[in-house]
Amino acid sequence: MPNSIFKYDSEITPQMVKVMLDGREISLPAEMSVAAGLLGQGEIISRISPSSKRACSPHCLMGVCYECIMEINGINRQACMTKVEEGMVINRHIDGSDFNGKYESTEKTEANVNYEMPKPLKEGEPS
Amino acid sequence: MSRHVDVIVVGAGPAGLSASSTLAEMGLDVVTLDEQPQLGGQIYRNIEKASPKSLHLFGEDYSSGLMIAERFRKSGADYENSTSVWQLDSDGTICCSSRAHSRQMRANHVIVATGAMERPVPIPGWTLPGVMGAGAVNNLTKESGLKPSGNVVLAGSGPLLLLEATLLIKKNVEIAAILDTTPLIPRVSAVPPAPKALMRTDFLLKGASMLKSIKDAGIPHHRGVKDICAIGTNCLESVQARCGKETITIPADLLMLHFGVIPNSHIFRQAGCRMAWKADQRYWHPACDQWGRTNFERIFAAGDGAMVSGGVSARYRGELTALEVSRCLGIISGHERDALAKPLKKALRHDGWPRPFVDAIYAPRPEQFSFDDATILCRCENVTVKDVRRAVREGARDLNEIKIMTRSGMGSCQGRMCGPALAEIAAAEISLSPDRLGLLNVRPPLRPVPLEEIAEMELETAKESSNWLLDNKK
Repeated sequence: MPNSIFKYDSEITPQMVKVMLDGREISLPAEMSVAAGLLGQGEIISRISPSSKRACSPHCLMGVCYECIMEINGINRQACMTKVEEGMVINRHIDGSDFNGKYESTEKTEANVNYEMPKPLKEGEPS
Repeated sequence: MSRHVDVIVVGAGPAGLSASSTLAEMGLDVVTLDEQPQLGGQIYRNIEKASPKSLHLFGEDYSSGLMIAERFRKSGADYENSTSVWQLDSDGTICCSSRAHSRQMRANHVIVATGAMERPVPIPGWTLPGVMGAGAVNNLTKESGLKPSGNVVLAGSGPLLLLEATLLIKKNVEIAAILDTTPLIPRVSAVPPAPKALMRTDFLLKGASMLKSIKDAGIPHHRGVKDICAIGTNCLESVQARCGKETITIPADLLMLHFGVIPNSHIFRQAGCRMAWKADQRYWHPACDQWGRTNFERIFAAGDGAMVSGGVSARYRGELTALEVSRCLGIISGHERDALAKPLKKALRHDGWPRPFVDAIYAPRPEQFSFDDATILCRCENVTVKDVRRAVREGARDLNEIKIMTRSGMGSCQGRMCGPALAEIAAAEISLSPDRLGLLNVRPPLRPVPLEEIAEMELETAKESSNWLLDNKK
């Protein structure tokens, strides 16, 4: 695990809220972005790049680089532009599970089956 | 039904806030859309909740934002945070997404004040965890009170790099080294604007005191550095660079890169605004008149998004744009506009005196960037410099051709991080100026939006909006 590269100013005692990070409960400071909150906790890895399969950390922290995309409450979002909220579910998929897990649930629901096998087009429908 | 307002302002930095305030104070119906959770843009980030300590640390450059924010809050402009504009049309229609809901909005005029971003310059290893923009660290300090720990190295060129170093010194962060890529011999073009810069002694003193505090802190400040390289396996471990004839290696946990700032111009390109190439600074910006009007009558550009000249200037330019917009809407006459603009233009000139000098000293030079074949250019799609060079050798002469051949610029950042360097690399291959290779096409949505959000949108009319996605929805 990489070293923690950020720490809080000693005078700041942020109010903490509970969130789920990769399936475990942790505390993050409220009133700041998810990316900043995680960096402050020593969690510098934001995701595994879907193209290079290597670990990334947030780069610009102003919404330009998209390196901090995480699955937050079920949607892939830029963590640097999303505020921490109590009970948030954050998945970074850094354990090697596939990143495009947005609509995947462990159960095979009807939607999932349809997703894997698209229905053939009916006649007359535009292709 | 989509909402119709007098003016939509995109962005809530110094330009956006000043423009909004000026217009709302005149009684106009103004909506200010900001993709950030808090107003202030990058320079005044988190200004409304800033601690006294933070205000003191960043000094007047930052605390002056308090007044701007306060004026904006009182002005009556409608502020919508966490709202990303993902499409702008030349007729003043925008589509935006906020809180997992997208909608359409119309305005007589749209003022785009999207500000600037750090110029992304790929170096070997810049995708390693632990390599960040210097602006990113600045943002973290303003927003969260976080400061770097461990071995910190700053690398790049520009006044903001030195400013960031002095801020870190004030916060007692130990800086292992500053690797300054600014060439040792200033350009000849820095000589003519020098006398004008001397008229702003306050400005020059600020620069001198920055250099002094770096020197007093005993930080190794290497100048004329080349070939910066981030090294590590799973994360950053050290930084290597060539300094004269010797190669230096510095152990590092955090590498902060900064190579100047360029306008954040994606939205203008998507709307189809005519873009102009600023040859000395090597960036594209929307072509505008003195009030910020683009080639579209309803679309205006204000602040650093129109051309980079800093936060103070952005504030004045936001106000100038607002004056012209209010004239267009019949609130003030041309004569009144000119009278109100006079002091603003004077202040703008005063602020701008040192600018050409500083710009000339830190102007990017093509020979400064020696891109290595193995370096990853496009972070999203993992495209290397070599891939681009090969595409050019195979005959590609337009950035969009290279994009199709290599996928550089096709990832989630939509070419924001690779576009400028892509142009530099390809142009160098065929000894042309980067502007001769065109610009990467930018299409809506400007931000990734879930399809279900677009499917749920209520659209007013299906008039030709030249948007495949929206036109074919029904």
